[in-house]
Amino acid sequence: MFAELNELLGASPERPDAGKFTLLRDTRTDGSFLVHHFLSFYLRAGCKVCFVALLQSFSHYSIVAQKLGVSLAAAKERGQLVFLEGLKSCLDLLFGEEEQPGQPSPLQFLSGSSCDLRALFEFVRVSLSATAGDSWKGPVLLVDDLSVLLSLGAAPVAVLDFIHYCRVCVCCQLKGNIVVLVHSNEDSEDEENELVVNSLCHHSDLILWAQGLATGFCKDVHGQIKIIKRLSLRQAAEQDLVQIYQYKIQDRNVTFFAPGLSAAVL
Amino acid sequence: MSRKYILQALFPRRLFPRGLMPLQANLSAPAPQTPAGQAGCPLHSTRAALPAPFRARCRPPCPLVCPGVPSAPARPGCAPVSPPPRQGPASPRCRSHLPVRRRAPQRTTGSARANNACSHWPAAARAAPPLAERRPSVPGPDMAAAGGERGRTSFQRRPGAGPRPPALPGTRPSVRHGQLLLSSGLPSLDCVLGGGVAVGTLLLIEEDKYGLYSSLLFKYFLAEGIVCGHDLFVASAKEHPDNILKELPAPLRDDSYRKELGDEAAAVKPEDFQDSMKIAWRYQNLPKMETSPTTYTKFGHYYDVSKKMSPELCQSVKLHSFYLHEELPLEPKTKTWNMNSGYARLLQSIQRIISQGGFDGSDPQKKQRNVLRIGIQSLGSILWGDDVCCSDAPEDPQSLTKFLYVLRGLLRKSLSACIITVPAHLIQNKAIMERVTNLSDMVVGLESFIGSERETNPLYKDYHGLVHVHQIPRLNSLICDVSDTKDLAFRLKRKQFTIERLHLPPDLSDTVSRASKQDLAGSAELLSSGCGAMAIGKKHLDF
Repeated sequence: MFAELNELLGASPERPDAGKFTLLRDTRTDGSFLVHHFLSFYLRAGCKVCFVALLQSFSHYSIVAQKLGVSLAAAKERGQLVFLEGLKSCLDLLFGEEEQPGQPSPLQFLSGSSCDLRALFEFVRVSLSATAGDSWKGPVLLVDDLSVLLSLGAAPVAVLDFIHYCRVCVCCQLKGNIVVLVHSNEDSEDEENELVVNSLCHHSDLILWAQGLATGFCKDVHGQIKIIKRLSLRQAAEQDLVQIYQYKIQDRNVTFFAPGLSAAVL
Repeated sequence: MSRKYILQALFPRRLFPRGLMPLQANLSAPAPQTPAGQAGCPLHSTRAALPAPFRARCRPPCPLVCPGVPSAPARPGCAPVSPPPRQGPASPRCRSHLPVRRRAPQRTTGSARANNACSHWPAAARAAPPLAERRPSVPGPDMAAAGGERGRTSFQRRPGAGPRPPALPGTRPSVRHGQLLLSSGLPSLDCVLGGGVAVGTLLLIEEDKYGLYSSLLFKYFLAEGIVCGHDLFVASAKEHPDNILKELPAPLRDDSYRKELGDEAAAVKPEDFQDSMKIAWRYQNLPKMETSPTTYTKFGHYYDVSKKMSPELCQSVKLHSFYLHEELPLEPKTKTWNMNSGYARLLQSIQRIISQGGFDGSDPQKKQRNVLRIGIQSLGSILWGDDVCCSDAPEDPQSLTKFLYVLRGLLRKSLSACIITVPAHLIQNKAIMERVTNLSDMVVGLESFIGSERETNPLYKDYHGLVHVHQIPRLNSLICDVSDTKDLAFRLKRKQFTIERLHLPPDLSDTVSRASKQDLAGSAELLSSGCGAMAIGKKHLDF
């Protein structure tokens, strides 16, 4: 959890928002630091988190979370965190024994029996639906890299359907939040990905867009982040609020500053 | 001489242990035969040139303190800093400030440092004659040996207790994220990648246009595995893996020279070993040879591309090969996972080796572990039965990315690292290449100058191509090890392939015409746009 980013977003772990859809988007850089931020933020806030981690292993997230002061293993034991490790479950699906028909793997679509992401949605719904006896605040769905689903052969429409179902379930019914990371390049020819990104941009309440510097690599400024607060989504008359900051990632923290005010310049 | 004198003047003499003094006496003072009162010693001239506060701190001329002693170096306590006495016009001055010296211990005024220094001198001077009687004037080997005797109790290393060899040969833990690193076989590439290839990650090489240099990198990676004793898995659809292994470069090792010289040295050694001169006594108890073979302790080796690795060395490691055209077709009942059958077979083969060969990191009961190096050549080419290289809208665009995802899963849970070369320039659909980049950990692109206009460009005359580091992994941390520079080039020398920082050649000629300079400037622009493919800096500045 980066305190400076919380200030910029006006969020605090004491009172997390409810019913918000946040899109994390990265262009020419790696926006995974935002995923680590939101993971530790919601765990601190006492929310029940379902983390669909498709790109990295559990140990990676666990070690980084430890640096940010959160223990994933402990959260998992408490039942606060449901961690779907995509890399592992895909191996179980492909090389494991025949699974029971009652419990399909969340990544069922890989093996080709059906092309939709229904199994994944079922997994999210079951893991986030409130069970008696837990006192977690609002459920949160966190997806690291939705673009991987496209790489794995899911159709863009199936991905959009999945997100739509999740929004209805998590944001509307359970009053929770969704945070999703996607890669995007303006000049890429990946039409499927662009389709997904554009339509998600239209629906999201908050967009954090991490961009690599257009002028190339810099040691003291790792990129710029565009924070778009979609006020127009709630009230048609309002304008979207756009803020642009530059950031530098450090070992355990990320510092944000106004463009041109980096330590290298001052 | 003069520097030494100033040093001694600046630092109080008691900083030097007594035992060192005779040595210094021998070094700094003139030979004992020199008449005591020889003039023109540079020490003195320096001293005279020193400003007054310095001079006040210097010690008094020796003969006046202890006039009976004929030669300075005979008295170890006095000699090291005592210059030979002067004669002639300068001597009255020496004598003139001698009383100040004599009074110094009684004085209460003056700086503390001067006081310290002064109070020390007379004591040393007084102690000097008895010392001279007790100790031999020349420090002999017996003294050093005595020091060695004393030192043995506290400083000697037990012969067996050297640095413990790492649990796995050819690996070292990363400073940043603690993951085990392997060398890619090319130390300069390791440097670019932040120390090496982490275990459980995938290094993707974008082939150059003719596949010359990427195949070199591929072979370096495998050769490093052989030298470190790792298991190899080589998969190819083009060249037979056995042929690839025959072409590996020979390691350049120091001990290969030693081996050649070894026979002559062995013949000479036994007889004159006994009375060979001892140079440093403290080293005599150290083992003569390295106890562990160098291959195990060293990380990263150099290879000679002009020689081939000897077949015996190749056969010393366990080798698994996968040649697509020799593999049996899949049994009908096995799952194909909507994937190209070549990829599916390769994945099953890798999975079988990882689970049967004990490379699985998740089961802890294996006693002897080793690292598996996986090399896959020209993945995505048409020989694998994939059509991403031949059409803009391939029939099955997800096969390659699916394969990479499953491979990533296999690598992450096992003790292995993988290198893949991909003919990226042939893949028409850039979207596929983007997804492939996202799914691999390290992506390095090679761009050779062969056949391009850069081949004849004077800017690049030292190099054979450019290296683009597209992606560096973030493992177990928020940040990644990015090297300072993105402008990298490679060069194939007679024996070695190296990756270097790209720099402009020096402008040696005086008569470079303005036009050719502009050419150079133009190509420099071209270079910056080529290296930072993302740079669209002409439009605006970020800050």
